[in-house]
Amino acid sequence: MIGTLFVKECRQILKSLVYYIYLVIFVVFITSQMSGTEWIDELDEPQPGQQNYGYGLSDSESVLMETGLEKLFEEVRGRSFLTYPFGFAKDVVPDNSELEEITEILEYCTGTDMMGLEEAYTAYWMGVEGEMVDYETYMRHLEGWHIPVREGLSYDEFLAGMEQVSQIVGKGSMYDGRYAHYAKEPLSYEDAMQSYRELCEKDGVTGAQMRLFCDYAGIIVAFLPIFVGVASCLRDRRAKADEVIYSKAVSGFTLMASRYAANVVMVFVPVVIWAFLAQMPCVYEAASRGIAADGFAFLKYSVIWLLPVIMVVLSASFLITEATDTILAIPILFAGGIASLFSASILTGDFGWKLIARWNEFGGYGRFAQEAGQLYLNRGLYVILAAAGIFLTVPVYGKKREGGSGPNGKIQKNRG
Amino acid sequence: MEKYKKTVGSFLRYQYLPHLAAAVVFQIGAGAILSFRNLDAQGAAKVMEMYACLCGIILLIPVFVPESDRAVWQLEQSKMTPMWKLYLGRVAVATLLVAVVAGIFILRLWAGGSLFSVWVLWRGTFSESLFLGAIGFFVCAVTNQVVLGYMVSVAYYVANIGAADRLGKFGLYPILRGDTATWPWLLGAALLLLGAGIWLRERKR
Repeated sequence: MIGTLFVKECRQILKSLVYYIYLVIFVVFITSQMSGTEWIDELDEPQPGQQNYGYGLSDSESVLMETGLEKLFEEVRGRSFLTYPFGFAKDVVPDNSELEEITEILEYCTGTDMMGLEEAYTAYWMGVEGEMVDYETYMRHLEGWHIPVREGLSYDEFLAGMEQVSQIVGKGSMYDGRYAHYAKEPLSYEDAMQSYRELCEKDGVTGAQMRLFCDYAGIIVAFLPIFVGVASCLRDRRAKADEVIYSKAVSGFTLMASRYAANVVMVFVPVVIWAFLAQMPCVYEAASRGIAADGFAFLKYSVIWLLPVIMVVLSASFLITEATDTILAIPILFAGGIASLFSASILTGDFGWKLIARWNEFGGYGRFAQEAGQLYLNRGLYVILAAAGIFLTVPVYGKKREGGSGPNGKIQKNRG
Repeated sequence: MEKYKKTVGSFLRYQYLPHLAAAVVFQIGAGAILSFRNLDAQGAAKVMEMYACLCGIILLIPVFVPESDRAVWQLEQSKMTPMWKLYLGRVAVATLLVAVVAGIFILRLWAGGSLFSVWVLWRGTFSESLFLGAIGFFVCAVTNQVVLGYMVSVAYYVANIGAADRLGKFGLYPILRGDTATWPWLLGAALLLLGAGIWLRERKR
């Protein structure tokens, strides 16, 4: 029974215009974001004596202090502090007295007054102005400027200063320790070789590409399945078939499970197909250089990273739509998706419990391996939530079938 | 006139209430995610054009919801009162609410000591909100599917984040991009889409 219903539901989805719009937006978005070929350079083996080997994260106290103070200088200059008080990005603009207080902290930590810092900064950029030919040169110069740190400033003093700034600008600011994600130092040849080996041996090249794919696809699958799910739940009512279906012998569980499974499969299949297509250039490029690529990375990453998102978004769409018989799931889940998207203070890692997990970089296997545990916990939680949501939808649907409940003892109709 | 007041009133009470509640939550929730204090003209434009404008989607798209049920549409069609008058009444209320929501955002920015041109930002946001909502409204009128209306409006909003410049006069966030002159285009297009939507709904379902 469930198999037959599943096939029927899949056919219904294939007749839905919402589903085709989902497909078009997904394909256009992924194609536009992943058409670059910069990743090919990453497959070049580092050679001794190269001018630079890129940058990596640092845990050195001096680098952390420098980074924290540079971020503070940047934000004091702009009079705007980026914070994440409720997971959303929020620009805090302090008033004059607060800004003065923060400036004093900056001046204390650097041992230079604000005017002196401004002058040094301007002088540096004036000196390199004529060389600003391209973005790469600009970035090199950006990394070339460093703020002075007061001689004798201890790490504890620095942390206390950051804590004070954090209290002034509010929760979730850069000075809650987020600056550590920006503390970078140049890689040595050995470091670069290690990254290269990880890319080839542990990541199988395609793993790096698939994390990037999941980064982009994760944004889309956090939003668009909401519409597919809501449309699917409202379809019976629109077709005036709800009463007929209520009277059938089939159980609520069978009906909901088959409908839910059909939605998950129909939304997920194009994702897997596109993941496979996205990894193919990597497979060919790796083969041409004699590197063995991981041919199943598309499946592993899609299932672990993206499937739980699709499951939980569809599950929540089903539950809210069946419970309210309205389109309320759209604004609620859309707001949830936006919250998750804006809660990313960095675009590589820091998964926490975010629905949209970001990894906007080709490579970085070492850091990913350190954070992968949290990603698995995160995705596991969403799978459990998805299952809970769909199990809750069954009695809600059952209640409607029995004659309904709601305000005035009637099912609310015609609201979506 | 009394009749129209009654029909709009019952629409607000029985069908529009959840959407009004969503607009209130949208307004209250803004404080948690946005700062209204001490912003310059660019910062204020970002609040209005990237967040406040979403009220158009919340308030305009659900206008055709009751008649998405064929029986309701047929019943209303059989009455003496032309349907376009009913729709126009609802659209007028929704438009007024969009203007009010945009106005409240402006007030919050002003109270927070932000520096910006009130009239320029209000008219720009109002036109943009109306246009964004009108896109979904029109799609809803053509397809009779409110879900599709939301989907297309949201897709247009998201597409503009990266491609607003390529959409010419109809690109969103104009003030943020330094263009304060395109609001009549957005407003004109919004009115056209709203008018066309009402006309279509009167004729077909």
